[in-house]
Amino acid sequence: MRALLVAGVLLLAGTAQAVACQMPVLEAARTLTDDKGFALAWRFVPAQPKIGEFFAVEFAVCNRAGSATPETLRVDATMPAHRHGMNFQPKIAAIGPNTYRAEGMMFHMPGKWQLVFEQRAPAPSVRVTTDIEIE
Amino acid sequence: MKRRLLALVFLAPISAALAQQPTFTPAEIRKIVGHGPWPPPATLDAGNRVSGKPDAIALGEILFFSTKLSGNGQLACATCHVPELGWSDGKKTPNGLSAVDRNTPGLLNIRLNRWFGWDGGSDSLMGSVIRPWLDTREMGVSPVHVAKALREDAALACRYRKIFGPLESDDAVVMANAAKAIAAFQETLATSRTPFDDFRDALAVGRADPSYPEAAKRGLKIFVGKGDCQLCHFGPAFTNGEFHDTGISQFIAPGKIDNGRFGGIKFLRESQFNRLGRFNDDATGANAVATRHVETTHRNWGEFKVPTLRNLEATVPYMHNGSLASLHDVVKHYSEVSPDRVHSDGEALIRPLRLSAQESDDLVAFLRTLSVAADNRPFQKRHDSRTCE
Ligand code: HEC
Ligand code: HEC
Repeated sequence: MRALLVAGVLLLAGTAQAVACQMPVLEAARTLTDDKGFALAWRFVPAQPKIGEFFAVEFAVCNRAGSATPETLRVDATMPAHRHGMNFQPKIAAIGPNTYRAEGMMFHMPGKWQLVFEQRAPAPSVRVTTDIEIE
Repeated sequence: MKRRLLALVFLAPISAALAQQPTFTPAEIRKIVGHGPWPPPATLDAGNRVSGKPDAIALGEILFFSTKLSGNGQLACATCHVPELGWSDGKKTPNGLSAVDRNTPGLLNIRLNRWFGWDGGSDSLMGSVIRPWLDTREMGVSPVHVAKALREDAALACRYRKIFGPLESDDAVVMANAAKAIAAFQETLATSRTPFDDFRDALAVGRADPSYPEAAKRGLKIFVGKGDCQLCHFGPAFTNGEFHDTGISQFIAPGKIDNGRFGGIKFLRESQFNRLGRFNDDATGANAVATRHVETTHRNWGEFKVPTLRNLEATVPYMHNGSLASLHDVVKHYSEVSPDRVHSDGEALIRPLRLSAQESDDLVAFLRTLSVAADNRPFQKRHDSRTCE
């Protein structure tokens, strides 16, 4: 698998937010932020998901640390070009301070997937996405 | 000089032919190589403690061919799953105790599946044995019937005891164990290497395989290219193991609809024989991850399992309802399918390919290289139902 982060995704390191952000350490994680400042670090487990095999996503909520719970978070993956998502519903559990694991994810087709992270409460709901090419 | 001219004259037609030979881009080669290696590594089913055990495989073989485990005493699994037909039956849809509305799938390589049945109503090979037993249209037996048949047949009871210990008083347990033995037998059903596999292995190391037909190469190029077949018919078994809507009719009869995967998930959830239940031998529960996370969505309505494309020569007719009688008909379907046929929130992937006659023939030629006749020889039974070896 080749994972390509789309242009437009800012690396937290080096931005003003990074300074204020108490990001829990996740080794080999990639960071994501939206223009309203929702920021997180995430990684695949295993690092290279294979088509048709289950994987998990571990992630740390950064700027909203303390405000998130597994119930307020959502992780999903969709194939925008095919208008469908995964065939499985991931379940999120806390694995450490502000750190979560979404279990039960699968890319069942090759192609362009979009990974979605959402925090729905407290309002306003915030969301970041990143595109990933799976082959 | 003269000789050189002569050589040129002879070479001209050859080089014209060479020009038509399909060449594969690095991206295409990666996709093609992804359809192997074959055979895939042998693995045991963690949910079935007798998976791979010779005694269980023997009992499973006997039970697969036995008519004792059917409501009318006349039906065996092998009535519908005929070895010479890739363990399918050659019919559009079969008759068990009464008419069944789906086509009988072949069983070769069945162990590689994540879901069983066109709707994935079972999450294990054990579950897919129990399903036709309990289905009143197929074999129509109860746990009581299955357990009684085993208890009352001295040879079968003896074989059972050697594998599982004394026959339990709980009939559901006896039935689940018998199903695990049949599952162990079915795990041994596999296809051999095909001309495609030789071509694929050669391509993987940059070698040519002159024996692989040119038409098949052209068809393969469509398969991984503009046909987008590979998106769903993915990997060594040519299936991603999941469910899609390809625009095949959902109607069973006027006003009667097969809701496909939607009903399959509901059936799976309600079954006490799914992997979340007490008959799963994997104490860690790790093998139940798919069952734990599967959810119905509206899109599942009208989705059916992506079938393997290996050994199709023996398993006519095709599709969940057996509505397509030949590989040419299948290719015609993909060539002409109207996007309107696909459920409204279905995926934007099925569209008419509008293949030329030549391209259609090439695609069929490719599909044919995924079968070898030897896989459909009559099955030599290895065990005697009257003895307890
Ligand atoms: C009356 C004909 C008939 C009989 C008898 C029958 N089957 Fe089937 N089998 C089918 C049909 C039809 C399907 C597809 C069912 C569905 O999708 O709802 C099927 C599906 C299966 C599958 C899943 C295949 C796949 O590709 O997902 C397995 C495994 C299987 N049968 C094994 C058995 C075993 C073992 C027996 C004996 C206990 C048996 N069958 C008896 C017709 C039959
Ligand atoms: C969107 C996913 C998808 C794509 C793309 C796709 N298929 Fe299929 N294929 C399926 C599904 C699902 C079925 C079963 C449909 C049914 O029974 O309703 C199927 C059935 C088949 C069958 C019948 C096999 C059998 O045992 O009944 C063949 C052959 C086949 N496809 C070949 C192809 C070829 C060739 C292409 C490319 C032109 C292709 N498929 C593209 C999903 C797909």
